[in-house]
Amino acid sequence: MNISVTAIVFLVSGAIGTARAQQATFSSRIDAVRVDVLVTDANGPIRGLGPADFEIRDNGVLQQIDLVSFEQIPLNVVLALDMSDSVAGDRLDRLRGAGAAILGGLESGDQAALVTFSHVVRLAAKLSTDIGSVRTALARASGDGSTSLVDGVYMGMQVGASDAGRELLIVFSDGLDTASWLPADKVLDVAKRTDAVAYAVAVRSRARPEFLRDLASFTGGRLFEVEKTEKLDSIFLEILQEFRQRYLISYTPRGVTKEGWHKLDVRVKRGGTVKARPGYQS
Amino acid sequence: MKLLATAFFFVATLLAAGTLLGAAAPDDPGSRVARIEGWLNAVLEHEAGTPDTRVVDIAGWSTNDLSVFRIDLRVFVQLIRKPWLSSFKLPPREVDCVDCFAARRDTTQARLLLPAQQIRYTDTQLHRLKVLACAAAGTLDSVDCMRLNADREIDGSLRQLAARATAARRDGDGNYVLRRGALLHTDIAMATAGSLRPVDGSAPEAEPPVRVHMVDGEATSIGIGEIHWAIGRDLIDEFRPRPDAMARLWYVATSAWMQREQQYDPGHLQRARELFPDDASIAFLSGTHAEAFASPAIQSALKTAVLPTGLVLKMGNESSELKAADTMLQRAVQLDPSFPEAHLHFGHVLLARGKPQEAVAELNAAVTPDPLLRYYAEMFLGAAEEALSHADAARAAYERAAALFPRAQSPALALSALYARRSERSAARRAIGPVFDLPAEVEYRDDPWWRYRTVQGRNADDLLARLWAPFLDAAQR
Repeated sequence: MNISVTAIVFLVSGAIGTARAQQATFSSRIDAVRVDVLVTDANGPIRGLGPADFEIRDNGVLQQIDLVSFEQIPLNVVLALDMSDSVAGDRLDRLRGAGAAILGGLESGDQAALVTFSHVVRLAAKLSTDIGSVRTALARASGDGSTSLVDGVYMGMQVGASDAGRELLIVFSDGLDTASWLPADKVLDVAKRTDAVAYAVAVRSRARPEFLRDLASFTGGRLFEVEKTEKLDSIFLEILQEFRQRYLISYTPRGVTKEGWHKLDVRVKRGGTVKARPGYQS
Repeated sequence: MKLLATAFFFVATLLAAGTLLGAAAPDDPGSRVARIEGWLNAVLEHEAGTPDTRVVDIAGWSTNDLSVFRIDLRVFVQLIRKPWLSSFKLPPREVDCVDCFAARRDTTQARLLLPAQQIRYTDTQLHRLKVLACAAAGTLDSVDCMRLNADREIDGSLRQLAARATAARRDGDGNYVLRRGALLHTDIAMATAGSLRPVDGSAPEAEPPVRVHMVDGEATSIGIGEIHWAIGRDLIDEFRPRPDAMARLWYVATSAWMQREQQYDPGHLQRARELFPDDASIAFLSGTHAEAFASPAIQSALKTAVLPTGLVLKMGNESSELKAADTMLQRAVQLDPSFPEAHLHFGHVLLARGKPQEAVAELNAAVTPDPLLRYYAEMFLGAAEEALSHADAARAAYERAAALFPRAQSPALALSALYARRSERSAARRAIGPVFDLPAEVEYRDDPWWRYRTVQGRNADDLLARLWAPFLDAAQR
């Protein structure tokens, strides 16, 4: 997981000192790791935590946290929405409504993009601060055919990975993948290498949404399984609200080998339930 | 490009043995004999490959009528061969029985033995059936038919039919009515594909073809499918001395058509393999049928379909279908080593079974100038090389595929993911750029991957034209 120095600078100015010092000593790039963390207790998200409140272990090795940010970094919200045959009529209307609701919840500086997928994956709206253009694309979005869920998720990860900011990938699908070229395991492998946090909303059926469950798990997000789509807009807004309550922790790995799977263990010293991705692939 | 049909039909089987055996009594024998006579006229007047009024007429028969007709037709065919018969018994038959193993939801079902069935007619009705059989056989001048005074009891149409059957017989073919009958029911089956009749339990036939309609992996309706394919198979089976080149072409053409239209019927190819065990095309289509069944689009039905109690999909899980595909496609390339499309599908199946090294060998043998098949071969080769950690070879294969179909999304996705899995983020972004730039409108998108499950049936129209051609010649009609 490589974050360039310039990216770090853009994100949080407080990191400049550390980053430049390491750059001068070792290389022109800093191998920094970002981890999105949600901390909650019985009353909901805990706010106001700083670097000293966290402990993070990378493959069991305690790391020095460079920064912890909260509500400072704009969001890159990528909507990856199923537009296959099974999403039609009322369900499509509700999906459009839910998308519009989340777009309405974005703040100045936030960006959004829209990816739709049936068997065709489409970048319906590029990542942009022009939320109106995304809203227009959403209103026009429709489709038919089978479901390239895995391809659509991959496309969503690539769309959001392009710019600075915290990437929130929201995936909606009401069925199983029936048409993707990319195998699920390959895309999950890519997910382990990205900073995106994926929240998935699946309509409950006899089949378990295993891919979406794994995607959410590997990226530190959440899977919502819904019986019906009447309250899809409130779920989408809940996702946005929850994501905004998360901390972004950054550290430069030390004492661990670079390659391979890195198991992450994030704790809050004063207690609380922590939700973060379980590791990352380097 | 709109994805070709997203609707699939799967043969399912009635669960309860009691239902299978609880057959309603056949209807009035008199109307049954009249139905056979009407059918003979339809055979005479139907033009192969055309959804004419005869097709429409018979397509309108009820499920019950068709089931009884199928029984009577079996009797009638016996009389064509042996007009002296007076007692008819359908032999005992094994049919699928899933009541014991329904929970397994696979095709390894127990078989249920249906007892022999006695078919009865009055003397008058049997006499008329024999007269009709004499006309159909073109044997009005035989001793048995003359004894029946058959020649005097038929009208102009039947006389015309008899003349043609006689001419065919003189040319060494005693299957005139059977061939044209098979083509008639083929045309009905194709014309009515996609329509399901309600399951009302009234059909006396022991094996009603219960089928499930799937859209985007979900079961949307269930009902009785067309029995006409089964009637076509019955007639082909009765060719004497044995099912011949026309029968083989019938199975190849209709199987290709079914796979193109996603009208799946495993029993169709099973019978084809029994008749033509050494035919490469039939082995190939059997393999691609199983390969399609192993695909996520079809397998999703196993996971999501909510079927009425007593019904089970007649398909295996992904692993068992891939194994079956492997066996049959291997057979196809053994029977015809210069069959590039068989190598292509065999390579894909080997890849899906986790044998990338063997897949590469097969895909390299799939040498063809056809850009469509080359596209598939390059994509599968890319995936196989990727599985072997040959990133450069994989990238080259994906790039060749992209060059063949620039408006396809899959090569760019594959290439991008190849980079992304190596943590080459910038390269991954660049590689997926062409997908970002593709027009949103589906009409401007063209990815052959979307059609892979049905591509083996793309020549179905040509095959059907070859099948019909001899019967469209006025002299042959």
